[in-house]
Amino acid sequence: MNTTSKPSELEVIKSKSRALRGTLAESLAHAITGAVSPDDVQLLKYHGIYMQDDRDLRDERLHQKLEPAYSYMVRLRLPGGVLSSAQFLGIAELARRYGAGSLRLTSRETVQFHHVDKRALRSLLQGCVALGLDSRGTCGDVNRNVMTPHHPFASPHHQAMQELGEAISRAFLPEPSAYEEVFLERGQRPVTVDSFYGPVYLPRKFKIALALPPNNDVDVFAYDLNFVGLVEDDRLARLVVLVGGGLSFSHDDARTAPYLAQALGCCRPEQAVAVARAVLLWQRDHGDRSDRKQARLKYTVARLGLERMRHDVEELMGAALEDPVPFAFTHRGDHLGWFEDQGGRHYGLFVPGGRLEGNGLERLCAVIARHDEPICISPNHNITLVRANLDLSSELDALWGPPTPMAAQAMACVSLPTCPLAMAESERYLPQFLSKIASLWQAHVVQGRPPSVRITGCPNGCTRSVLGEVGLVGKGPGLYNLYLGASPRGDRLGRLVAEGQQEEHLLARIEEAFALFASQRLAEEPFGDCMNRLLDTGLLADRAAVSPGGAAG
Amino acid sequence: MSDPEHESSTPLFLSGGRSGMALTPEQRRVVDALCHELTPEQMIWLSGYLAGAAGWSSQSQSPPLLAPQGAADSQSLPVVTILVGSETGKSLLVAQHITRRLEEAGMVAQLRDLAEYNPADLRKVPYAVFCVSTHGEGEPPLPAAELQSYLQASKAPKLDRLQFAVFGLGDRSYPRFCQFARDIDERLVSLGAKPLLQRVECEGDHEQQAENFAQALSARLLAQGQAPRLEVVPGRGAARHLPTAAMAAERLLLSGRGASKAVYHIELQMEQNPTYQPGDTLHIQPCNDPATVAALLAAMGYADSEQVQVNDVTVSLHQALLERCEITTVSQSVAAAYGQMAGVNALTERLEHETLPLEQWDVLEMVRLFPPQRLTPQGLVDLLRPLAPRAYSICSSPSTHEGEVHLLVEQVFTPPGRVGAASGFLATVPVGNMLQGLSWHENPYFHLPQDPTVPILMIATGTGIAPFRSFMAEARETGRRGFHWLVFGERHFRTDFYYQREWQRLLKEKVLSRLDVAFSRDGFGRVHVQDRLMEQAQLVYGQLQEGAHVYVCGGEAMEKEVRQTLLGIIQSQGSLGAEQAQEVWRQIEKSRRYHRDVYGG
Repeated sequence: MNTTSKPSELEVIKSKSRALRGTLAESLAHAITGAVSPDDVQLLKYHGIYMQDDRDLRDERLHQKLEPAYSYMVRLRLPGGVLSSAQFLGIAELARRYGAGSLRLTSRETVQFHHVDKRALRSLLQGCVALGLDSRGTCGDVNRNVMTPHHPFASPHHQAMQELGEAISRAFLPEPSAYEEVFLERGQRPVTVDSFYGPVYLPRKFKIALALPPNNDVDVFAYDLNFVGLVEDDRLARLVVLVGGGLSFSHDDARTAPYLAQALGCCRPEQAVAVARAVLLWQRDHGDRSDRKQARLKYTVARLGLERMRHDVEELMGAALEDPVPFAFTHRGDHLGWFEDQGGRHYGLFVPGGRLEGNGLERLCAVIARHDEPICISPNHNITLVRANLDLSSELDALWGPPTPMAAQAMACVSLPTCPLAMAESERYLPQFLSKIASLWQAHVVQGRPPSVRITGCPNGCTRSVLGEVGLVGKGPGLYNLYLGASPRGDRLGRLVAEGQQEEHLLARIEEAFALFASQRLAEEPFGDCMNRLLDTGLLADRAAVSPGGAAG
Repeated sequence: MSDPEHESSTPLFLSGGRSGMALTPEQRRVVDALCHELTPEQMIWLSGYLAGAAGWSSQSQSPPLLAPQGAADSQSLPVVTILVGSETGKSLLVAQHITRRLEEAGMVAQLRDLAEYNPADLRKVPYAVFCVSTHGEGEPPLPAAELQSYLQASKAPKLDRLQFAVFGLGDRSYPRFCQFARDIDERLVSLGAKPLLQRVECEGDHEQQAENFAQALSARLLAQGQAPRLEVVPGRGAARHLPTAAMAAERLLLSGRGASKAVYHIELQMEQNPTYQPGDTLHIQPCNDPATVAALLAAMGYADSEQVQVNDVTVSLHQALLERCEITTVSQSVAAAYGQMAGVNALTERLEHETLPLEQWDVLEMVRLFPPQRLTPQGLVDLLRPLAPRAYSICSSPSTHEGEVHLLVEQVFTPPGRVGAASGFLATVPVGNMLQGLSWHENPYFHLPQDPTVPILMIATGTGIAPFRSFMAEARETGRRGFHWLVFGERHFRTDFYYQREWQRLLKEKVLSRLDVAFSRDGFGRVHVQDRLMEQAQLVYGQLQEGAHVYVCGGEAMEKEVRQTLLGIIQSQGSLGAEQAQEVWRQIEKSRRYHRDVYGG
């Protein structure tokens, strides 16, 4: 790290924040605006809260002499996405009361409330605590919600991975005094520097995931730190440690790019927390604090090298890592409908766009009221009802009906109108985009498993588009980058085949790809692998060859 | 000047020049010009005046050009005291009109604001004319509170030397129309005073009724031999300006998406540069919805071309219903008159025996529910109330928004789907269209304090925030530097925070010193403006002690609550007894530090 550089503005905000309090109490009490102060916007994140506004109404309200329609998104800390049915019903009730009746399941196995009024934040968070839940550290420059293999009840090994995930989640929570003081109103707490993170926390967000081959449902290469569980002699024997993944990039900054995580070494399961601790500390102390676009672990690893990192991490751990061993994933994705495993018989419920609201939410609640077992949120924003009662079958089937094969694997981020980062539509665009490419698929291919389709409204990468076999990344209103060739196992990035293009052009490129797939596919070859091969051989051209000057620049 | 005819018409007693008495040609010219303007009564008075002046001259005193109260011979000349209790300035207009007419008839008339008048003086004056409005449920206007308690007290004195007349103003859509005027009238009679005239209860066109009243009054007083004398009237004038036109330059829906109300910001480009002050109102002569008029004509079975008389002018029935008659609301009295005149016995009977949902009706609805047995077009026009101009608080400031008048208008839909006359018309006026018949009216009791350092507390609900936008625009422009505190209440923060960005900017600029808001239907407690005042009781009291002026604009019920709250704050913060607090409050009202501009509903 260039230690002579000036710390970024956010580093200053963090350091002056009095352990994440800032002026949050004043901002919450300020009745003239629905917003909080700009510094407090940053600090809210550490408490799991994003200030947003309805971007559909921005111009209209400006004209109406009204400030933007500010509201807040609250993201729960839910390692592995596990909820009791009572917690689910409690969350739904809180959403009705404080969140415009809407819940959003996320691609990182958790739940978000949207449209929360500033005046309702405390009530909402206190309501969550009453359910045994909280939103601490789900945003901000700390360890975020930890993902574990879905679903945790599938086998004892899944259970073991879940326990590791929960232990890691607990170990790296930011110090709670500000949360308790400001939001839970438990009285004034002493202001102490966070004992683990220190006064300025991490240089950037930090994501951890755990996976259990052969299913790479969590997209284990996509995050800062990852553990791949290896089972030997029917026990969870060791973990491969992967570091330096991260899919976010900036359209206008060539130094940024999506990275897949690389193996740092292996450790025993009981060392997971110690490894995580060492990696977090290493990143805390070596990450770039002057340029947030270079601050994530992936850039630190690229700058200092994997070898140096392993050396430092071992030193911090006071133990050596084993060398990495090979492992293999065969697929990603959720089981939908009824399925059985060692944990029993479960029901995988497809949730369109991950959105639960209105009639759908009410009917789901009616079903879950009769379901006593856990509910798990999948990495594809679906739900698994663990050990569901067969009696619920017809009601569950009737909720949203069985998805089309393409929709079953598709994901979209929230994007417009609420996400401040959004550059193009995503959640609202997914249904029409899917129906258009599904008809192209039918026209050209007919057989075989359709590709996984993922859309994100910006290059932040929330739904891991560059790991989708058909990946769209928003660049401007109605404009997207198109990626093809990603592996259906989540271990190879897609390649840019169209940049900043409108739908018509995107569909033309996709149609071309489907036609080639139909004619060039090798036996059982998945779409992503086929596209990768065709891109290698030049049968499918990358963006430079097909649309000269078509890039939005 | 040498016109013989003119000379011959000059009254003999002023033509002393003929017998060689000394008037310079210039003096003569002035006297001639004056005589041309004077009424016979004034000439008679002038002769007496000049005779008196000759007496002063002989004592080498110059005659006072304007006789102050109590000067010289006032003992022998009875004075007509015109007492005005006005909140909106309308009663003041009437009082000024009457005063002017009496003076023109050569009488001594003195206009007094009831806020500053000691009611005990009623025992000493021979003639009193009351110009008073009625508010809410038959309550007196604020300045008349002391008069009311004086008259209603069991120890009220005999007033058998007093002769009086009462001119009441009110709104017939209230059940106790002109109740306060009635109360005064009946109480004075019971105290032994003698009415000079029958009481007038006025709604709508007060100019014509004030004129009739003034003429009848002066005739009555002259017949009693009241000696004429000139007196100049103190007090501020409530100017009324001639109707003008304006172009709708901007029309914005301020209510955000999902609002339960439709409130519009309207900018008018005035044809005549407006000369209003912050706090003043703009009157708009509304026009009814043509489709509703057509439906009403059809329901009555009338032809458009029928001719009717409205105020002695013949117009088509269609025009009368469009521009002259109130058809958007139905009051108890209109319904009763319709029941009788149209021979609808069913309506008459039901009105007697039950409470009909009149507030949900318009005239068309009434006619549909109770078709007429008989009713001429003229009969219909006569029974309807006149379509009165609608008054809107101006929310622009002349110093900031040159040549413009801004209004904040809530479109009233009662019941759902039907459009209120003026608001419907304003809310839908296309930008670029001309509006006719606008006039700005001074609201003399709702102006900023003269002293720019005096703190002000502005309390508003709903569109009542309008005058305060004007106040603060003015304050920003003129550098007014008192403590400016606004307390605003509405239903929803997100959709009903009118001019939110402007208030935020004014706060940042420190023009607005403090803003408290109370949104009652957001699900965070049903808080209202009075609750915010109560929360800040200490600050409120501190401001009152520093001489703050309090302005309240919005619904009547709110104003009542606010007044009670302020009284309670004075009592608790000042550790006073109820009586003492009342007294402090009376002083605040008396010194005109409490201003209200309220409306029903």
